[in-house]
Amino acid sequence: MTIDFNAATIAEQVRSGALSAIAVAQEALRRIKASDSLLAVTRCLEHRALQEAAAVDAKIARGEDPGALAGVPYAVKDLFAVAGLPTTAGAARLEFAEPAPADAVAIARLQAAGAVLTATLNMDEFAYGFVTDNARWGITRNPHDRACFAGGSSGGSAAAVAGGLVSFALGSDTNGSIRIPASLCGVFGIKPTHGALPMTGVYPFVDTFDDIGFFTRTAHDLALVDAVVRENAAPATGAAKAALLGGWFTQNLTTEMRDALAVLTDALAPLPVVDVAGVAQARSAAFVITAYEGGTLHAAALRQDALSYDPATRDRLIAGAALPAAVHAEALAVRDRFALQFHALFDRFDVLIAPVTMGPAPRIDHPVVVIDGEEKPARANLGLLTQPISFLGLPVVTVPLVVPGMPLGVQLIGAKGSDPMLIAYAAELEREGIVGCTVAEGF
Amino acid sequence: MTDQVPSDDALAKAVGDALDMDVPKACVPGVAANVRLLEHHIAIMRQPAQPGR
Repeated sequence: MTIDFNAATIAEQVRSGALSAIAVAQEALRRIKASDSLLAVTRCLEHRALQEAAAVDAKIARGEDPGALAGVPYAVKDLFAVAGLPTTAGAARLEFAEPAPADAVAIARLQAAGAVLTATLNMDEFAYGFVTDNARWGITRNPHDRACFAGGSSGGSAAAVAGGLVSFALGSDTNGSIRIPASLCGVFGIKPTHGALPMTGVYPFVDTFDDIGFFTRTAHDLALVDAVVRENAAPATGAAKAALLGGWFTQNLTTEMRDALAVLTDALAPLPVVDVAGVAQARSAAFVITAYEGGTLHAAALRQDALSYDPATRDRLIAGAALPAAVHAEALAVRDRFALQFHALFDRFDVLIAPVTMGPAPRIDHPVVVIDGEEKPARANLGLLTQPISFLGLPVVTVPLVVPGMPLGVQLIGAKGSDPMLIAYAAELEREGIVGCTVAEGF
Repeated sequence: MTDQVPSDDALAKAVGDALDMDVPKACVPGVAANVRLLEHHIAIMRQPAQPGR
């Protein structure tokens, strides 16, 4: 029997008794074990998954409500605390750290709703990168073309969903780490309003920008998971007045992305184009804040044992740690000025649309993106179009465009607190066939 | 007269002094490259905001 891995379908079938949670967990574990070459999974949690699935089936047998996500298999980026396991944050130096005493709050909420945790997932070390090139656990491959990056830093999460290993996955986004891999792997993703989802039990990186979020195969699943992780999510309609962000956000695009945006613009016509000033300043300020806060967080450990870090992360962190606090304050002031323009735009529009990346996933053997005619390292520069948005703490839903070839996504950006509206809008676009996930599973 | 470009060693030493640490030799080129990258971003951040940029 083939199991449809959409979360809503599994939950409905398990809740009705048509499918056992154990059968779903066994299928997810089989898929995980068959997908080693993706390098998406860092630890398969077989024992825990079977225990949680058995608990769901037992509840159903007793006539109890098993929860909204009964039996739905998921996995988490390796920076969420999982009780009894070290939280590695993708770092070899933490592989044998003290085990976490308890689950992260997000995991606890999912467990209470009947979801089944099956694995931890690969990431850039300490979430400092956009490609999931990890010195200890390898480079996560894009399920649509294994010669290409999955994106990062939550690349394991996006690849696990796009590859059909699990129904959904948790990740985190500081400068684009959910939006970029969601776009490059062709799945839905949400980076919430800053601070809206629980961060307890999540390994930190940059407090000013860090948020958790998740990846799904449908917009409907996004709403389902959001209602559990967020708690008290308000229902919303998708009817929204949208505009396309121009200027910076339409420069440096590849032909594939320009063509895809043209199709989207036609489908949503009339779609006004709006521009904001100072995006380059905003992106650079985000870069500076990230370097300063990330570096400061790791300064003590770097003094003690710098060589235990991944060199690609270490040298960025050391340089950032040495920045003066006054420069950090200056960058925060840039943010305040930049935000005023968006306040004004959200008086006129509900949703601002922008590409997530300049083009499709870069190849692993040529890890660059082209900016203003020059090749730049993808690891540090794939966030060109995402950093100015998370800089402001705005909620963003990433939706996969319907395109030939490798996946591409756009950001649906809303005012703070408009997360449920963005999810509903994504669902509306999905119903109209304007966006949609292409799963690359071979099961 | 031209400005002297600081060497990798000089940049890494300045970082080490600021952090009260000895920057390991293996880190010097990478740290220096990242210091230069951050200087570039700080310079952009301080420019006047341009429409559409």
